[in-house]
Amino acid sequence: MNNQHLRKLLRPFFKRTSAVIGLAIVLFLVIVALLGPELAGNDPAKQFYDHMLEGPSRLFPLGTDQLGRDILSRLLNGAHLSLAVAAAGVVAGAVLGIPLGLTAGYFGGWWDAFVMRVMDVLLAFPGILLAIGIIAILGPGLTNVMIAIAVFGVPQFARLVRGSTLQVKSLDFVQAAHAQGAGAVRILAKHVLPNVLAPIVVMATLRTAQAILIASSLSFLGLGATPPSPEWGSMLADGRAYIETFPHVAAFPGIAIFLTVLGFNLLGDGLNDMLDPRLRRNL
Amino acid sequence: MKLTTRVAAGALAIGLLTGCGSPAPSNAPQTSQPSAPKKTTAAVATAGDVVSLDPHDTNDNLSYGVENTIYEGLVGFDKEMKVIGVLAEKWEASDDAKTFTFHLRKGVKFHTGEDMNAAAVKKSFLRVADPANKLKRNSLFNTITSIDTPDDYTVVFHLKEAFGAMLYNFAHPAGKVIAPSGVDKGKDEMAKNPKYGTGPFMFKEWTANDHLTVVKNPNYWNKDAAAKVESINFKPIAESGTRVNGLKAGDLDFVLPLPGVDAQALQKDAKVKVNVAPSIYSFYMAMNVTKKPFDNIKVREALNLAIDREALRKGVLRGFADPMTSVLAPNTGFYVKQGDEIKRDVAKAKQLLQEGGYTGTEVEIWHSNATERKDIAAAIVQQLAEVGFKAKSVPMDNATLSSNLWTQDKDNNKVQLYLGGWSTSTGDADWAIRPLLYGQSAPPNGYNVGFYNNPKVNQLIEDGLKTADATKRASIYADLQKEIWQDKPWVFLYIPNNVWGTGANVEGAFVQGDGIVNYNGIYFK
Amino acid sequence: MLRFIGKRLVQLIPTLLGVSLVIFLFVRMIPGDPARLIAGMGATAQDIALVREDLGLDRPAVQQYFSYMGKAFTGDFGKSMRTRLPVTQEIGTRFMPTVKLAVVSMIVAIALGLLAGVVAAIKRNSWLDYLSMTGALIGVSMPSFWLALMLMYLFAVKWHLLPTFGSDSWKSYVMPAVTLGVGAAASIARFTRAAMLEVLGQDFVRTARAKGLQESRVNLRHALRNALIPVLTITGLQFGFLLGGTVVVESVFAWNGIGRLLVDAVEARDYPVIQTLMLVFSLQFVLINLVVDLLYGLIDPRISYE
Repeated sequence: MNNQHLRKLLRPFFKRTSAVIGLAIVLFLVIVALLGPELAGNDPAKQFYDHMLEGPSRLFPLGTDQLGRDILSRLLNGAHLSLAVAAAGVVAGAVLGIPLGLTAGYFGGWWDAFVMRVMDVLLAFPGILLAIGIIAILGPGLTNVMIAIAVFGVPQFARLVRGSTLQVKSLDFVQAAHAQGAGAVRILAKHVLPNVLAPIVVMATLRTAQAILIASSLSFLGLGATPPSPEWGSMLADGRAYIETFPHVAAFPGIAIFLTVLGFNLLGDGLNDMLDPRLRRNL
Repeated sequence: MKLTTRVAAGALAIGLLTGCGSPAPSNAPQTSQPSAPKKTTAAVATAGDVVSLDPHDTNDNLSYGVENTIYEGLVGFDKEMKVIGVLAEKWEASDDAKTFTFHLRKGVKFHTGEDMNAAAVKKSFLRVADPANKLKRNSLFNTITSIDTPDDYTVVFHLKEAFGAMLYNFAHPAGKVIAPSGVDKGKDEMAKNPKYGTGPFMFKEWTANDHLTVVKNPNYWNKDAAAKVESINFKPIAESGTRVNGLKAGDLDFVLPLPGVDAQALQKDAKVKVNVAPSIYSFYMAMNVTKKPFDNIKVREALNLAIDREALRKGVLRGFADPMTSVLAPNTGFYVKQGDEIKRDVAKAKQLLQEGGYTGTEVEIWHSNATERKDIAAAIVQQLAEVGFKAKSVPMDNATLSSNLWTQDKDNNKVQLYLGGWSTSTGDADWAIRPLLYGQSAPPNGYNVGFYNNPKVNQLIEDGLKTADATKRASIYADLQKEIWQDKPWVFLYIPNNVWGTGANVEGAFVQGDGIVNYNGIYFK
Repeated sequence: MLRFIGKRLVQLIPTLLGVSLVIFLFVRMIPGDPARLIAGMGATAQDIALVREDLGLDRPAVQQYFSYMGKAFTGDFGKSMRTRLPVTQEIGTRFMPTVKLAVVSMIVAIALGLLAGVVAAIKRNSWLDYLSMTGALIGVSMPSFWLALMLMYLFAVKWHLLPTFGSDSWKSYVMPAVTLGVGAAASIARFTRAAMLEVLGQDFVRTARAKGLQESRVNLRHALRNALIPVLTITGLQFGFLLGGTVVVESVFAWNGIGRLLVDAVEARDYPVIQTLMLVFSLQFVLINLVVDLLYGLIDPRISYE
C-alpha cells in the first residue's frame, strides 16, 4: 500500500472530528494504562484510616473510598486492568467468532446448522452462570473474569457476522466472483469480509464497553476482581453502597468507564467510515 | 447456626398511608395528617426468601424468624438470650444431666384447635428425634432415647448420655412444638403450609420469592403478648440499597441488616430510626495450626498483635462493633472477660514473627465474597503487611468456600487462614466453642477449620457437657476461655453489632443476639 | 417455509439434549456440595449424610442424569433441593413476570432505538445525530444497577411517584423497564444508524432517489427495510439477553423472575432447578433465533431458507 493509498484510506477518518477525539481518548487511556502506576501519588491499596470516604481534597484529588484509599491512584493503577478486560471481551470473541460466522453464513447447510446450534447452546448459557462456574472452577481473580467474558463474546460475533454474510452473499459482486471461479477463501476474505466489517467494528467497540460493564455486574454479584484490585468495574460496583451518602466513590470510576466507552465508540465510528467501501464511495 | 443469613424486615404501606404517589401534589399534606388510618399490616421484607417453614427442618435465621411468629417451643430466649419459659412454665434437670422434666402451661391450643398437652409435645419431639425422618435439626435432639408423660402436663426426656447444655437445645428455634395433626403430615406439607403452631400469628399464604403473610391469632393464650397488628407481610428483597431506599420512601418499616455507612446517614433522617444491639457473633480469623508458620504460638501471637482492631471497628464498620474480650461474645452463656481488646504492637509483632521462624512466604486468607468481608480482609492484609507478614485476600462464593473449608480433612485441606464468624444459636457456651475448637470437630466432622487440637481444651469441653449444674459449668467454661485466650488458635477480632432500621413509628420488634428477628410484638405508634 | 420451521424444530432436540448434558456435567464440576449447603452451617456430618440421602445425591452421577432426563420426558422435573417445591412450580411462578418485563422493556428499547438510529442516520452529522448518539453512548456505558438505583432514589425516595419495588401495578414496570430498555435501545440505535448509513449509499437507494421518489419514502421504504437485517440480529440477541439477563434488575427491584432464581439456585447448587432453567433458556433462545431467521426472509426476499 503506497502513501497515497493510505492517505486516501485515512481521509474519511480524519475528516470526522469525533473520530479524532475518540482516537485521542483511546491513546490517552493507553498511555494512562502504561504509565498509570508511575503517575499515582499513593499505593492503590494503601488505606488511610483517618481519611475514609473523604471528598476531593488537595491530598486526595478525587477523594477516598470506604477504606480510605486514594481513588485517583486506584483509577490510574486500574486502567490497564480495565483495558485488558475490554480487550478480552473483543479479541477472543472476534478471533473465534468471525471465521465461524463467515463460514456458517457462506456455506450454509449442515455446517451452518452445526455452528449455529453450538452458538445457541453457548448463548443460552447465561453469562452469569458461566462466570460463576468458571470462577468457581478456576478460582477467583480478574484473569478468570476475563476468560468468562471472552467465552461470552464468541457467539455474539458469530451470529452477527453470519447474518450479514447471508445478505452479502447474494449481492451481485459476490455472485460474479463465484461465477469467475474464485475460491471460497478468496471470496470470503476479499469480497465478503470487507463488506461485513462495518457491523463487526460497531459490535467490537460496543463489546469493549459491555465487557467492562459485565465485569462490573459480576462484582455486583460478588464475583468480580479480587480485592484490593482497582479494576474500574469493581470500584463502581463497590461504590454503589455510597451512591447517596458519598457519591464521589462511584462517580469517578463511573466517569472513567464512560470516557473509555465514549472513546472506543467514537473511534469505532471513525473506523466504520474508513473501512466501509460503499460508505466511502458515498463521501 | 451462623449469622450469615441476613434478615431484613419492613412493612408495605399497602396504600393505606401514602398511596404511593396517587394523591396529587396539592393533596400531599393531607396524607401525613395524624388522622390518617393507622397501619394494621406490617409487611416485612427479608434479604432472601424463606427456605422452609418446618422448624425441625430449618437451618437459616431468616426462616427461623418467620417460624417464630407461628410456632413456639417449651422454652425460648429473651432479648438478652436468657432462657425463659414459653409453653413450659417450669422445668428441672437431673444432676447427671441425663433427664430433663418440663411442666407445661395449661389451656394452650394449637391453631388447628387441638390441645397443647404432654402427648402432643411427645409426638412432636419424637418426630425430630427420629433420624429416619431425615430432618435437618435431628442432631440437636437425637440424644433423646425416650419421652415419658406421667400426666397430661408433664413431659420427661431421657438422654442417651449426659448433656449439660440440653436446656439450650430445647430453647433453640428448632425446638418447636408442632400439633399432632401436623406431625402426621409429610415433610413437604410441613415445609410450606405451617398451620400447626401455637404462636401469636397464624400462617395465611406463601408465594415463593414473592410474599408470605401471617395473620393475628385471635385466640392466643398469652393476652399480654398477643399480636398488635392484624398481619405481617414478608417480602424478599435481595439488594441492600433497595431495602434502604424502601425504608426511606416509607414502603418499608424494618430493615436488617443496615450497612454501617447507611446507618450513619440514616441517623440524621427523622422518618427513620436506627437500632443497635449487641450480638453473640464472634468474628475471628482461624489459623491452620497444623501448617507452618501457624504451628508456632509466637507467629499466632504476632498476628494477634499486628491487627489494629479499633481501625476495623471504627473505620470499616463505622463504629457498629464491640471489642472481643474472650473467645465468647459477652451475651453468650458463661462468658468471662479475659482482658481488654488486644492492642496493636507493631514492634513486638515483628520481633515475634522473627522468633517464630516466619520466612516471608505469602499466605492466603479465605473468606466469603460479601462486600463487608472483602473490606475487612483488605484492611487486614494491609495491617499484616505493615508488620512484614505477606497475606493475600481470596474471596469465594459461599458454596465454593464451604466445600473447600468443611469437606476436606486435615491432610487434604488447603486452608491457611479463614476469616469468618460464628454465633451459637443455642446461646450456650458449649455450642459456641465445641464445633470450632474441639479436636474431634475438625472437618469434615465439624467446623474446627484451624485443626486445633489442644488436649486441655478437649478435656474441658467434654467436662462441660457432663453436668447440668450451672455453677460447675461456669467454672469449667471460665478455665476453657482462659486456655483458649492464651493459646490463640485464632486472631481474635471483634463482636459486630446487630444494626437494623425501622420507620420512626415502628416499635416492638427486635433482633436477638443470635441475629434472629422477633417480630411478634411489632406495632405502629 | 413450513418445512424450514419443522426442520428447525427437529434440530431443537439435539440442542436441548446437548444443553442438558453440558449443564449436568458443568454444574457438577463447580465445587460445592448441595447437601452441605442445604443442611446449613452448624450441621453435623450426620445431618449432612441424611440430607444427601434424602436428595438422592448419594447415587452415582450417571444414574442421577438418566433418572432426571427420564422423568423430564414425562414433564416431571423433580423438586427443588432447597425449597422442596416442584421445579415446574418454582419456574412457573417466576417465568411470566420475567417475560412481561422483557417484552415491555423490548418495546421501550425498539421504539427508542429505531427512532434514534434512523433520525441519526438521515440527519447525519447534525445536532440530532450527535444528540442521539451521545444518548446511546450514555445508555451503553451505564451499568444497569447504577441506573436502577439512581431512578429509585429520584422517583421513589425523593418524589414518591413510583414504588421502590414489587410488580403489582403498571407503575412497578416503569423503572425496571426503563433500566433494561435503555441499554438495549442504545445498542439498537447504534446498529440502526450504521446499517442505515450503509444502505443509504447503495445503488438502489440512489436509483430510487434519482427517480424522484419522495425523500421520506426512500428512507423508510427502501433504506430502513434493507437496513433491518443487522438490526434484527442485534434485537433478537438483546431480547434473549433481556430474558436471561435480568438478574441485576430483578435483584434491585425485587422482581420475582427467573434471572434471580438462577442466581439463587446456582448459589445453593440446586441442581434440578439449574438444569431445568437451562433447558428453558435454551428453548427460548432457539425459538427467538428461529423467529429472527424467519423475519430475515420476510424483510429481504433474496435470503432463502435453504
